[in-house]
Amino acid sequence: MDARSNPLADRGDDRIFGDAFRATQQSPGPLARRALERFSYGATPQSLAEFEALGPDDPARLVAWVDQQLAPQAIDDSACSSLIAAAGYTTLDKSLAQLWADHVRGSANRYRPLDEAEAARLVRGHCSRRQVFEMMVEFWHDHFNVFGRDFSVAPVFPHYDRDVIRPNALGNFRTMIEQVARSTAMLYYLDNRSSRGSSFNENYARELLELHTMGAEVYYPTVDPHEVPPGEDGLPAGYSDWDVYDAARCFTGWTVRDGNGQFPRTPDYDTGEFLYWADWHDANSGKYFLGQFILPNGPALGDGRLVLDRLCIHPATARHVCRKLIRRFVADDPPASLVESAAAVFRTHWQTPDQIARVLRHILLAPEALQPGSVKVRRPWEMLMAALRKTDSMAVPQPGSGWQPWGFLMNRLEQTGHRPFRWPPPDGYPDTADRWTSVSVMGQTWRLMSVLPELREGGEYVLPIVSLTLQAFPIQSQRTAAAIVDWWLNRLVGSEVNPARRVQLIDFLRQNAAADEPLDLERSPPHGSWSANDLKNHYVLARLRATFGLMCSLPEFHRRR
Amino acid sequence: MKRRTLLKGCGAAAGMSVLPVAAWFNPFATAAGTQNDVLVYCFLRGGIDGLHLLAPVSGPERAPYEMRRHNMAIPEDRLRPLAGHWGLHPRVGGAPGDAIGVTPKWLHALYNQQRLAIIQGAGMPTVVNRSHFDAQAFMDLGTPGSKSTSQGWLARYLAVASGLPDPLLSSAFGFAGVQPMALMGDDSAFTLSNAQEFRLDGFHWSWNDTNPGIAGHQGAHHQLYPMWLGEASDLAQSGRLAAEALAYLREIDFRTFDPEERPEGYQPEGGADYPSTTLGTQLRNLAQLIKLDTGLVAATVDFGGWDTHEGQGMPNPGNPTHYDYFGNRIEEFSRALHAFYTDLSLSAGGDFMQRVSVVVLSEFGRRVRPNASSGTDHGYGNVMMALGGKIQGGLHGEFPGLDESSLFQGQDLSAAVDYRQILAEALVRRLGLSAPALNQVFPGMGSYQPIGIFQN
Repeated sequence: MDARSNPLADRGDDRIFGDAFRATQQSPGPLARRALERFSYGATPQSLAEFEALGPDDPARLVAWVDQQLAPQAIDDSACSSLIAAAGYTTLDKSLAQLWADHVRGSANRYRPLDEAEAARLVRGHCSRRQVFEMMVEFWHDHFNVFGRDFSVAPVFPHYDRDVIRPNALGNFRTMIEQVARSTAMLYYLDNRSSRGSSFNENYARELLELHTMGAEVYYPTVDPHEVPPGEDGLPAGYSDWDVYDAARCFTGWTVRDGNGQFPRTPDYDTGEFLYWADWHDANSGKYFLGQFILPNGPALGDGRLVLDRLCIHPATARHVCRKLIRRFVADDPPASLVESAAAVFRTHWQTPDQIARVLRHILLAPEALQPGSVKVRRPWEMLMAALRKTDSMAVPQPGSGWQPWGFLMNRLEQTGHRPFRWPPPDGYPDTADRWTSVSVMGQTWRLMSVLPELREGGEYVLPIVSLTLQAFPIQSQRTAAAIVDWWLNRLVGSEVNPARRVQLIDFLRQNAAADEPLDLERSPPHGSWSANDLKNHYVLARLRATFGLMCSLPEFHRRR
Repeated sequence: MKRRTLLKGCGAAAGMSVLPVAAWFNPFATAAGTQNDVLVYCFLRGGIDGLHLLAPVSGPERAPYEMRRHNMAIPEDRLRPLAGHWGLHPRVGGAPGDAIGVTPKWLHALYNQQRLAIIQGAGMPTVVNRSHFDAQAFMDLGTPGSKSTSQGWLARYLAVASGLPDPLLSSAFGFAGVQPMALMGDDSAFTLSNAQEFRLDGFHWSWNDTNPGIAGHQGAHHQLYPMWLGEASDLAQSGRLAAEALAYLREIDFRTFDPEERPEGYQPEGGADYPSTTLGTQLRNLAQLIKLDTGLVAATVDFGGWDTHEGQGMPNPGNPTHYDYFGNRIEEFSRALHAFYTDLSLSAGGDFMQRVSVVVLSEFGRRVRPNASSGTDHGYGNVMMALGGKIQGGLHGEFPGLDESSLFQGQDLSAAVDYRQILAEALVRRLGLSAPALNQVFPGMGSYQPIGIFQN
């Protein structure tokens, strides 16, 4: 082992360990960095500059930024829209009936709509300037999870994403939940499509109560409904199995125009759209739900709507949804006081069109939200988005275009366990660090990061690592390993990088080059060339990209601070 | 915990120093030879319909079974009869085209060899909960009724067990993407969805691996572990464990043997034929780890897809083109476990199944009455299974009964055998835990009551 590989021997090297490192940091105010790492898929030089221009001081800038983000329609996102429009996707604008005609009844590929929705999700995740909105879209896809690869869900998935989740992501919860209940994707995924009469299927109703609204925290499994303890506002504190069963009765007959043999044999009963089929509704029996009767023979859809109303005004629902929102944006262990205050906003505005935006504003601007020490660990998807954003990448996946690069990328993402729309059970991807820091997830995330800088489409690198580096250091003599590593660390993480890790990365990048010796980044692109006797010149461009992959595997990069 | 701390020690002593991995660990040269027992905790996620797996063929339960199961009752002549009045779903012992009379395969064959135990009337008698997530959490944490327990039951076992071997890799492997709850709180458990694709291998070839022919050259993957030093956070500890696992597992070729392409690959023994599915691959990886004898004590394996609210399926043995969802699922399971058993029991290294036990369970059974979707909703009591060389095969427990007075809440099979007692028996009789220590693994379980599944 030569001296180079033992950094302890290098401690006297002022050029690397001296104060110059701190001085070269051009980090913006820490609040901008914290807000953008936490409330977006990653801070970029541009988003940091925009944040800084929003007001005279940090608090004013934060309020202005949050308000801007919560009115996404007013943010010009034409660059991102153009990328998607130019991608040549063919299924994303199809109506539900068209998706059904082409991809269910017709011979078009059943999975194509899902794959394109996923590709668009990836583009928006890293390119859209409506970052809070895109994070909320992800949140609701988790909250109202359906398994996208399901045989019946995949062909209609663009409808679920475009018409059910996205329009309501900052809107009204009651409106959204009814659209979810009527959506073809959910009607298939949780089987309500085939729930009929007295032999109802309880799958949807159970998850509606347990996951979508009140939460298992207030589940009193087998007690008689009138023995559920009383809670606030004269409502029962929670629900029992009997509430689940009666809710299921209320939703019988909410189904899909799927050409079922009991429907009229006309094309309009085979469009894939929502259908309330009264013959299947358990209309004659009275139901008892959350402490109140639902009378027999109510109007069409009335029983289900009553169930949704009662759920959406219930304090347990407000707490359950707010707890999850706070877990997404603030901390794995949501502070109880913030849950309570956010839930109060949620309930006050349960009929307001922008209920969710109001709740989110309350959460993002709460003092607890960006307190130093509060930490969220990035999930693998967020790791990928951050790496793409911070390299100004404009990755536009082409599903079905073969293994390189998009099949490879998606395969690696899938192995992390966090590929979009691929969580089979209805609870959605977990959102606490303990579930995302297993050996498997971390190892697979680093595998993804090792591949990322090497991905090429038509000869062009998906992440322009080398060209960004050359732009940043136009003069050859500036291109020392220390300068390059510092520039990238500032871009990827900000100023707070463990100094020993920094030195380690510099040592790997420079190999046997002297500390003040520039690297030859124009030598034999794209990889560099063989130079076994002089390692600093051995595949220097490939080594720069590997250094980038390592930086994206740093503890500092795993955190949304 | 128990795992050797070689890597950690080196890192701490040498600061940022970067060591060649191959020098630390060669599993083939340093197999520990610990000969310890291994427990495999296999969870059928989603709530398998145990009454579809094992149904009455004749006798007093047949008539109420037909009456209450309606169109979902499996006809007598489509079940594989066992001794007594019970019959297995035909796909446990045969492919779709195999008629009932064809010689039993897979788990049915192992049942006939007394290597498979099926326990009836099992579940959580102390708690009723029909939520997948709650019921799974209760079981995995080993504390029915509480899901806020900070450690899983296997993690607690590993913490209280004495005399465990010092493992070369880890005492516990969870075959899953995210941390399995049974191992929650064990910060040394390796969690892997797939061992053979667990390798930092995406860099350009010039820096992906160390080139021993170039003085001073080291692959980029060497940088990973030291990058995670110098920090005591939970995240950093997880990162070091993951980096360590990558470094060690890099030395084992988990891919299947090929005389030309992969002479170092793994060759299942005894004619074992693993399905090329996730479950088959995980069990193959596990068998390989067990044979390496590295001090592995416990493993978790999950196999989902049992939440059959719709289109559960009806077998039609002898008809090779008949589609049966449940049948396809149970056949894959049966084939995979049989391959695992065969591979380990017929190994040139000896009969490893003499010290390997598999316990199979699910969060709840399903309602007796089918729903409108040719499926079944969430129920209560269920079957459990145990497989191994030291298993007392056959039927255990007691069928809870299908008459009105026996059904739980008039709709579900009841549960009399506490699933914790089965796991406790495995820990005491096979893994050498002292019975008094059980209350640390399963607090609140009450007195230990073995029912004779495992041999001492």
